Amino acid sequence: MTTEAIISTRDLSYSYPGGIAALSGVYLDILPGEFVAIIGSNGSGKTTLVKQFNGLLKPSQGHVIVDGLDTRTTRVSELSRIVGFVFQNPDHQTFAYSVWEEASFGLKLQRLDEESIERQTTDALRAVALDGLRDRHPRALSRGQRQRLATASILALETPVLVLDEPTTGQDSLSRRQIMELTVDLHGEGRTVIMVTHDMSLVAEYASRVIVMQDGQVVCDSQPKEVFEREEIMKSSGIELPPVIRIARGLREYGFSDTPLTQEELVENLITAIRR
Amino acid sequence: MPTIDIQYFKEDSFVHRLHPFTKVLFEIAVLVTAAAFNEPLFLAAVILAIIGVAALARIPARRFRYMWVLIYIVLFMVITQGVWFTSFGDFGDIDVEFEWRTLFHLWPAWAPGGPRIPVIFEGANYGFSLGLRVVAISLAFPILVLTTHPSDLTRFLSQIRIGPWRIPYNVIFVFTTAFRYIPTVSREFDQTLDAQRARGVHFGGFNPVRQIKVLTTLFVPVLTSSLLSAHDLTLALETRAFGAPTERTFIHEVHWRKADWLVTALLIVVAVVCLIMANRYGLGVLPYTPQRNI
Amino acid sequence: MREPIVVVEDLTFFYSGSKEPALQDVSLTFHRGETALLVGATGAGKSTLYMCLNGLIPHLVPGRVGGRVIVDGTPTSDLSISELAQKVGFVFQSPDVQLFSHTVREELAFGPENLGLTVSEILHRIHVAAATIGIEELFEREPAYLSGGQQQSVAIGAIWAMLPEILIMDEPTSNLDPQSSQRVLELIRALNREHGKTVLIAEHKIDAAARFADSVLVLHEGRIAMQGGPRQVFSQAEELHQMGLVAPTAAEVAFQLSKYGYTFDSWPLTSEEGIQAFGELL
Repeated sequence: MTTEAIISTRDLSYSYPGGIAALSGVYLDILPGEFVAIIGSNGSGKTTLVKQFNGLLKPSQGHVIVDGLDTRTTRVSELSRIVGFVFQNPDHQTFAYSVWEEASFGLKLQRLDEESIERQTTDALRAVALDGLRDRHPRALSRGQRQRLATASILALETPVLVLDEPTTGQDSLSRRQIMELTVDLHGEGRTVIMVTHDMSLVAEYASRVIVMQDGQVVCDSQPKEVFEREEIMKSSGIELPPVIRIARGLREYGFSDTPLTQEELVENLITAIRR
Repeated sequence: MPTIDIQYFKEDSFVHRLHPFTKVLFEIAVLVTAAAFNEPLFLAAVILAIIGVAALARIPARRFRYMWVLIYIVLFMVITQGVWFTSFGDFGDIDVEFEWRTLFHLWPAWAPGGPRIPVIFEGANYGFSLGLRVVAISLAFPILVLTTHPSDLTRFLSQIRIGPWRIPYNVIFVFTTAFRYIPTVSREFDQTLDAQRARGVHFGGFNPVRQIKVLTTLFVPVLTSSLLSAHDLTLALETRAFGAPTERTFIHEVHWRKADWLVTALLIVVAVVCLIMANRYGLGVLPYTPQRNI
Repeated sequence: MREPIVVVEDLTFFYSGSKEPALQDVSLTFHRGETALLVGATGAGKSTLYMCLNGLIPHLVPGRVGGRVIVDGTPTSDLSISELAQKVGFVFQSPDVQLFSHTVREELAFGPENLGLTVSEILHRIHVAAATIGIEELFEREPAYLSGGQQQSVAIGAIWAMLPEILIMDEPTSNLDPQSSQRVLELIRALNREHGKTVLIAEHKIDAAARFADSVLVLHEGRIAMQGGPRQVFSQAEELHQMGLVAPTAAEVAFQLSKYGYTFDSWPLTSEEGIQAFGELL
């Protein structure tokens, strides 16, 4: 059985104006409902890759097909109904004078009827726990709340695919946990989640599939457990193992054989192993 | 989107090596010569000379791309002067004996009614020369900033003394530091553009009301974050003893070379010759120059 | 015991117009040559504390101050900001904002130039700073076009040229990728270990930072909630969780295991210590 990919790239290459090659020969199929993490050092092409998914960048060569549409011939505003893109810095998009205005703006652009705007915006604000602050000015929110507002403005569009660019960078542990709980819920509702991140603990804990980028190419595409086993790839693409995996790996010489991905799994496995 | 790109660019040209003061003299010389002449041919020669200097500085042509807006200024001058030249100009004695030539009528003969609004050749020509002056000055002025490293500019400005008076360092700092933030702001601009497009904002299109709304989504975030970084910048400056009560030291020096003497002499000679040509002999001055104009 | 270099006594601060104190009854001491890790959720009062240490409060930021801050023997209220700038160096979170010069050389020279030092003294200082930080090859580059990690190094270099005794770092790696973060943290560690500078650092990347802190200070809602050696503070994971904070992974795992009755002689902080401690249980 084959599932129709929601995003597929065929021989995708991209060079920035000025001729710097950022992607070369990328073939990918992202299936509906996947939770994909895209990792790699700065300059490896991971952000360039996800910007191809909603047409912000168009292929120099090859094709990107999003839900049957070729990004070369489709407007970004059209693709934005399929791929929601949450950027790292909320301050680059917040312009409105109230939380409600900001969150509903994308829907108004789509010229939806009042009722749907009301419903979708309310749902999105509730999902990020900002429904009590709908008349507040965005500048009066904390950094964490502004990040959640930016997320809500994308959630309101109810896109089947969500791209998160460095969702937890610069966040304290509380906001980090809130953001990830929200993401897990959204994924649970059946959305496809694509996350670009440097935080390997996030990758280990949440992703079902990991794509490792290096020099504009996909060098590894597999499940987290397997990717973290590929030491030569981890080293050459400058990726640090998350502490949980580093500890589990170190414990192998004490006869510990599990490969836990989360802290809870590590604790569980340790207790079982100690009792044995 | 056309952007005004007046940032210093690195190049080892003759113009780059000149002392900032010499380049300021060049700008003054352009002002003087452009003001002396109003015959389009002479002004064209001045513009050619400026282009020559720009070429000598190896300034890429794209740096001047935004100058296309000047075409509108020239056209505007040509039309307005062509239409109103004779009605508002004060020509002293020549008014009576001069025969104005009509170039064309704004209101065509076959169209019914109304005044036909003649465009006078002499007026249009005079308007053209005014436009060329604007072009000359607009071309020449960026050359100083484009070819002078901001550090040289800072040092030069800090050395200017008129009696006991000096330009306060914080004024110079604001002026030269503004250039430093061009790449930062343009990066913010790009990121904002991406973020807004990603949620369906379509830039371009013909509905003006919608376009204003759309532009707000760009400018509000960029301006807000610039203001916030300006706030952080003041704090950063304080922690680096900006505004300490002591006399500030400058480790950077700008050098006055032999070439600067030569260029300075040349510029003075050219400017004086042009002034004499125009004022004494009327060369490069239109015979129907109004004594007073609108 | 090493000599105290920063003493904060009963410090309370209200931003003007605010009824809630940003800091309340904060008393603490930093010793010369110590690396202190400052932990707290966003809004816990960390930035307010820094600004009290480098004199921006009370000299620049309006508000109501109670208590006092003594830096290197002198109360901050008796020193000007430019005098304090030579004692307390401050590195901002966002590398781009704090670099305003056109070349790295001028960035490093900027502070000493403002102090009106002689040209030869300034040249000496910037060369020493560049050599210490390892950025000599960037001298003629434009700060705006450097990578985030390089920018942060230049920012540290620019502070270094002011010869401060105390370095305050506000989440210096939060905008950097893991490799650059690693390098910047190692640099900070070297400045502390090899040059004896007192370092106060706030950092969300707790796993990386915990390994070189001599002491940890936990701020919560403007008050000091916990204070002590890293092992002591991070062994109290329960309390940290209540404040929305976490301990390093090894310490968290040890905490979970301790619920099942396992004990540790020395509370593990780093992955290596974790491997050692959990390995002994196996």
